[in-house]
Amino acid sequence: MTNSKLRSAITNKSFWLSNIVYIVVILAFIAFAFINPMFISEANLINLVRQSCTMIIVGIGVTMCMLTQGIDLSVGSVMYIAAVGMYMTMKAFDGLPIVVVMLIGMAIGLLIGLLNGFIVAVLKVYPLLPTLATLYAFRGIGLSIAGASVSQMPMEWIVIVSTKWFGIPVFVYITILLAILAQVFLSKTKLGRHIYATGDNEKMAREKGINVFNIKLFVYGMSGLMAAVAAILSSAMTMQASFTLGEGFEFKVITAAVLGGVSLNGGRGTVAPGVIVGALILTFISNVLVLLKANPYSYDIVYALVIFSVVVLDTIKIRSEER
Amino acid sequence: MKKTTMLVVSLLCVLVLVFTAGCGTIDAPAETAEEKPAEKVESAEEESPAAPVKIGIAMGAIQSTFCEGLRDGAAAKVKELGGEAIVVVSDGDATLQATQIEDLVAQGCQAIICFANDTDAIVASAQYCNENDVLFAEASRISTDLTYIDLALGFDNKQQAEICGEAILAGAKEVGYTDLKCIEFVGSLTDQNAIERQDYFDAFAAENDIEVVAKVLTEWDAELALNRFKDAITATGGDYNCIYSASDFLFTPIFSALSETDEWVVKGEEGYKIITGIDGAPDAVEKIRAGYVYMVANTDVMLLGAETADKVYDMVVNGTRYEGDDKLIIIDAQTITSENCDDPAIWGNNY
Repeated sequence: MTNSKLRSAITNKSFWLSNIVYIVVILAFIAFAFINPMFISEANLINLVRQSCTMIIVGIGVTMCMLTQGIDLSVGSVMYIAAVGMYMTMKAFDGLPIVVVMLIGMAIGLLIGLLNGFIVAVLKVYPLLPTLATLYAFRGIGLSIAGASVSQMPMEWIVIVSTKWFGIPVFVYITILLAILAQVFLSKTKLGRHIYATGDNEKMAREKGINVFNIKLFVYGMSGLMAAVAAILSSAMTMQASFTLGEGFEFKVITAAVLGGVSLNGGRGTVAPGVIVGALILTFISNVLVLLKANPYSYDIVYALVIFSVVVLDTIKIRSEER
Repeated sequence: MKKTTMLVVSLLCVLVLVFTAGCGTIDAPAETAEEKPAEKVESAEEESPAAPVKIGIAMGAIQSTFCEGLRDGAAAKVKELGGEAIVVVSDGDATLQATQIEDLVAQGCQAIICFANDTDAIVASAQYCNENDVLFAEASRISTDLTYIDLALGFDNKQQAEICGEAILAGAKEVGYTDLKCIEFVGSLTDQNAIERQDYFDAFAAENDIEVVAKVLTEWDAELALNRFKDAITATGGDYNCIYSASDFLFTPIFSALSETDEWVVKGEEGYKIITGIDGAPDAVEKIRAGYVYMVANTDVMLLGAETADKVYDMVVNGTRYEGDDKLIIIDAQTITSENCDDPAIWGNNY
């Protein structure tokens, strides 16, 4: 960007309004760095990014669903049952390569996602209901299979999270890459544009010859697949297929997507930078609360205030764009 | 159109199957082949009542080894005594639990054993049971008002928390730590047991010069525990030497975090953390055996479940009643250390 262009952007009111959420987040980061210098320590910053990864990965799939005016509430349960599936596979087939186990987990996620997509596309009901049903069904099935005992992953599993490049876990690079690829796919490919078009106006999309049935199968399939990928990461981080894995996670992911500018009405939003920023905001709050040694009873209040503030800022941004 | 209809019908059938699998009620543990002949002999010798004693087991949740142990202990005991156990689970919903208890009464249960979601809200259900001549017993989570509660069995959270505190002091003497700095893992802010375990440990720590340098609120979620533990390590600059956990279910995320920094070490090695916790689950016993965890306060949930069921059954069949302070029975906590971790009586070695 040349100097004159930069000067022009900085003095342009609409530049500030359209990027207001990102600007406020950056200012908050800077402010907190002064309040507590430990915040900007290398270890803490790496932690911040690392902790956002599962949310970003699941957010990729959930965002695609939201772009079509849909929603996937079952992602938390899909994470859990994929983890259970991988654990049971390893228990049954000792010595199976980790890659094969991961593929099985991903296949479970993909199948459940396709089931969701099929129900949404065929029954043409608002996706909240069928995905709410599968949220309960697959959590229940997982618990029936695994029970509530701690399903400890084998030691080899830790390689997924312990491998680092330049001090940063490899899975962080993979997460960012997945998010960027997803955004490139959504923005630059025909299928990606059809996803946005379906969310913008489904009826018109059909009239223009877009296969909405396939679009829905695709986005929910991706949502299930991404949830399974996140399950691999989560179970590797905690070294267990925990019975609470993914519980309530769908709401955090949806919050991250909305904070990142994804519209619940469909047709608007991005994975990168949108969902990445949304996930970082939520992780940032959690991180700050612990670093400040805040009273745990205040956590929910702080979350609510921050989310409310971001929504207000986003509304200001949308209104300025409309003008 | 016909094709679409067939497709929709098939899909609905699949959904019904899926929901049935996912939403089925939990039955008492199935009897083994060895048990069947013994029961047949007993019933030939004794005169069994016209109908088996029905006891409802209202679980607030079963999503932990702790809860499963409690349920299994109680259900198995009821079955052993010749009764019928009906188990319901409310998944953390206090209102649903109240409704389920009413349903159990309607099904003809003569007594209810309750692992309550909300020990204040459950008093109304206890009163309802009283009005319908159904006995009401609490296990583990105990209401402050026992007016309508016929029996309450539980562990002493104060005793357990203090045992953990004493273990930290003893461990510090062994390894030569003088300045004790503790990271405390808190369960859920809506779980009575978790709150008590936190409060009593904090009180003990304050009186015994154990500085709680950080609290990790986990909401009983392993990944959240891991993430917040890492944040706590950053917040303290790694300056801590002991850990207290409200439940040893959190030991695995602790292991994950400490492994990354090569601090998951046995006693005597550099960077050793004195780790204590409550419950005594199989995973925790294994970690004690391996030398990583110093001590766990054992809560024998199967014993608790079995004892509660035994006493409740006695109340139904023989008319035994408990009054006043006798209604509350506290089961003493035991410690599990490297010296006794192989004891076959420890529930964590049998579950």
